[in-house]
Amino acid sequence: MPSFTLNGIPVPFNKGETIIQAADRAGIFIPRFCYHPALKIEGNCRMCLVEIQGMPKLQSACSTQPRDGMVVSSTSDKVKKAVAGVLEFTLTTHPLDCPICDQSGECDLQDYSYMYGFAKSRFVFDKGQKAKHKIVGPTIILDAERCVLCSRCVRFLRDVTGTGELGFFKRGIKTTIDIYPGKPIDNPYSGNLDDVCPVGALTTRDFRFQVRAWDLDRAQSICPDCAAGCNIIVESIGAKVYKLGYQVYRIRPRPNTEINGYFICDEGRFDYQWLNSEDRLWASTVTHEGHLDVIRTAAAIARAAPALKEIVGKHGAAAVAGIGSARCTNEENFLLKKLIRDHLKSPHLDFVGAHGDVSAMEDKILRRVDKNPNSKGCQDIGIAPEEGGRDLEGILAGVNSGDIKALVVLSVGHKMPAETRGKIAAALGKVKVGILIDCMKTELVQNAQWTIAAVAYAETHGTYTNYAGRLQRLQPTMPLGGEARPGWEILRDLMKAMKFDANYTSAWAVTREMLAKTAAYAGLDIKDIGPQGAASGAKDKQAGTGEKP
Amino acid sequence: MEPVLLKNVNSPKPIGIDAYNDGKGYEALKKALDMKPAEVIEIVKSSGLRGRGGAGFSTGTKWSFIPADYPGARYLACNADESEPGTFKDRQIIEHDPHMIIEGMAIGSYAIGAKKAYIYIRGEFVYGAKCLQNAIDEAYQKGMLGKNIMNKGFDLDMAVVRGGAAYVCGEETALLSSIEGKRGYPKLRPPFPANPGGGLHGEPSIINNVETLACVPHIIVRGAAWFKSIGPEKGPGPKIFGVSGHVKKPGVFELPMGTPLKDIIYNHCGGMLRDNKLKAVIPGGSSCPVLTAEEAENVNMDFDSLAAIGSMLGSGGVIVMDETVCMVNALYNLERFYAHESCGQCTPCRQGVPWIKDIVGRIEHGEGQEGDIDLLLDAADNIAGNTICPLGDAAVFPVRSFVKKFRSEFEEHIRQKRCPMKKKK
Repeated sequence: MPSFTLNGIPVPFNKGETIIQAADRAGIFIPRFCYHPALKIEGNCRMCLVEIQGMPKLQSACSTQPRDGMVVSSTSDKVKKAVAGVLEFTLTTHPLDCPICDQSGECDLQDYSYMYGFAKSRFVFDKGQKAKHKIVGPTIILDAERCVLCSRCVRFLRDVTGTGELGFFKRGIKTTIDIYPGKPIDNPYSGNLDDVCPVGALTTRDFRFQVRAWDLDRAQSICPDCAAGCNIIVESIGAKVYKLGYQVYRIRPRPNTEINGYFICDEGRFDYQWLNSEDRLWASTVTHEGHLDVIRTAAAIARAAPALKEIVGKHGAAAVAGIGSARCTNEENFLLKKLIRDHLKSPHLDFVGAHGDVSAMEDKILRRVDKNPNSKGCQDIGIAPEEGGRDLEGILAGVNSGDIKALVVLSVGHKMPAETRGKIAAALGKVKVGILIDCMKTELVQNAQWTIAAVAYAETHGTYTNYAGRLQRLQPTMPLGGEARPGWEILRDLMKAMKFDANYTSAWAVTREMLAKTAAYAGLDIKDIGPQGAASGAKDKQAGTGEKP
Repeated sequence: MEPVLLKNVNSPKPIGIDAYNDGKGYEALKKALDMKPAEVIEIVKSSGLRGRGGAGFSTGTKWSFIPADYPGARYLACNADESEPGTFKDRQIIEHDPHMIIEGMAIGSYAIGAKKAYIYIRGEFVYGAKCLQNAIDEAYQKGMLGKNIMNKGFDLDMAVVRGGAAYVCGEETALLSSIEGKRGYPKLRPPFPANPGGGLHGEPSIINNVETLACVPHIIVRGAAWFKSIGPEKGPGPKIFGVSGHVKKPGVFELPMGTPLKDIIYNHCGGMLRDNKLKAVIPGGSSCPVLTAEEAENVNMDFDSLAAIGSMLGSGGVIVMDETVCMVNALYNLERFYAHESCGQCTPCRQGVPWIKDIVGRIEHGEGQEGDIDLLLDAADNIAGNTICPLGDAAVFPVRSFVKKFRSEFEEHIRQKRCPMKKKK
């Protein structure tokens, strides 16, 4: 592999790569505004200027391809002066409104000013005026004065979404980005403009003036809204909001070149309000003579377990059925399967979610037709009836005919299609023992005899398998307050209460057993599931490598 | 010297195709089509013709950069976006002898293998665009453009593209962006326009100045030796100088390359206006470093002589300034132009030039402060060489040269807190 030296450090590069790309891989940071790894190279910000031995002028690292043996410096005095100069020039029109800017704390211009800029301003003239807080679409708000005209947003809308809503207007110092009259930025990926913009020019209306970026805690997670399995960061602040322990303020993409690149869709980005909702199930309930009583989760488990066992004792294993969920983690579904099929020996098991191939795309960018994050995982683990067992329809019919007298249901109720939810709610109301493990208040809770409060995807450890069979880890944000507990813990304790063998000390213990016992994940170890996930299937098994988020 | 390029400059109407070249028509093109393209390039190369647009790069060498075995399309563009302050030479050819340009373009297209050529003309030159369009129509009618020209199997289509009146579109890559229908933004180099991927629509392209292309037919007909015999060895040929400012007879003059500037001012232009003292000369359009009176009176107007004293021949637009001119005000005027014309694509030029304009304006208006001159030079340093296209450099050269050569005037402005050239009220 050919290499060049950057600041004295040898940096290997591939053919066609530019200096900044090779430096990024080598972990040497060169400041940039206009360069973005997912966008076409424009070279207009001049922040990434580097000195190359033998060239009289400074060159932009984003657009210059290195040659073998080239000697490059990004820290020479000439470069330092030029970069400080570019920053000083940029600040001649940039308002110093960091205290009220949503980007503050995660602003490239702010960071670079500290890292490379002058502490003092030599510019004493009028900074000029441009459009402030202009609503440019349902999700995005524009502050043209803060714009550094790097054109990332223009290129994103032109080359990634292909919608081209933003363009440059006017010339020279008056140049401004704006939308075309009557054509707002209204596409399913518009939220990415907030991340693409290096400064506070484009921000989401949703996050506007909510909290300061530095107060947010970040958890690496996986988007639960379709089968693509885009990597996300759930950003939250610990607070006593209702009965919850924390509040989520924002969801942002996490780079994963194997799946979503650098972007996510708006559907996933703005779908976090339900996590903060008052309808979250923060305590377990038991239905007692037609009304709900709140009950400690431990007590609910301790009382539901013998009830379930009693049914098996009286009517045989075939009177029990389990319904899994493609919205729950592999671990939860795996434990449900273990309870129903292995321990209770019932053949009746199925899940709510997509069956068959789930790779169909909704558009040409990221979104998939299957709106469940883990249909593939449920299929892989085998959340399916045993030979002669009943599938979902069969189970529901069995409840109606009275053959099935106990149901264990894993669900994220409010995300379930309304029709299915109605049927399952009816079934839960009909069976003698109905155990629901859920995180949201829906009619399911009204009908279930036992509702055991579980936490949502953002609060638990676990794994999802995306449409292509890539296993990815979920990292919890802060623990949920109240009585809700991770689904795997609930199922473990349920099994324990029934005197079955279930000595899992953590979610990862479940993952380990699941990987070992699932044919589709043969040869995969928990350590293989890195930041970019792990592809399942023996052939293209590939450890998660690549850049850290 | 017998005028070649401005032969018909006194004609009230543009010369039609029948009268063109004293009635001999496109004889150079005919001669060129009998040669191989490589031979045409070789003749132009050996003539020593250097680009008349400002950079002074060898035209033949430029043409030879087009990869001969490139399978796709190639393009030739004629840069008629003449908008540099002080420059008004191409306009004379466009409005009086348009066929000279078209023939030169046809020869150039043949040499580089282009099947499509564009004349990119400044938006304000409405009459010029009409003259060129009429000439192109005539050439099509006579079979000098279109399919199978002169039955020699060479096809060429030509079109006039009118710009949107932006100075930056005279920069070759911005010119290409503009022809493509995009915002007139210069492109990153490499790839250069002559490289695959760098030119018009991503195909190799050549961009030549009007005057350069107008020289080509004469070189083909009269031979490289004739061209070389005019003026200095490196960079010979006839050159059009457009002289403006404080001279008695401003105008355009076709003179041999290397004519002494003193000769131009005192002989051809009839001397200084009101016989005032010469103070400074910008020798080749506004972006060239300024010359002091002493330098101006001793320099020859050719590429190398001017480069030797740290200036440029540029486009040959000579701006003469007499003793009544305030150099700070003159610089302010220039910087206002560059700040207005910066395209806004890259940071140093977009943000830096208006700042420089503001600082110069402050000095001129008597609000200058101690340290302003150093600030001016420092800001200029941060622009020079750090931009995508040469517009940033063009804005900075005058700053550096004005301050270097007339620093005392700047200091005097700051010290007196007023412009010393203005009469006290």
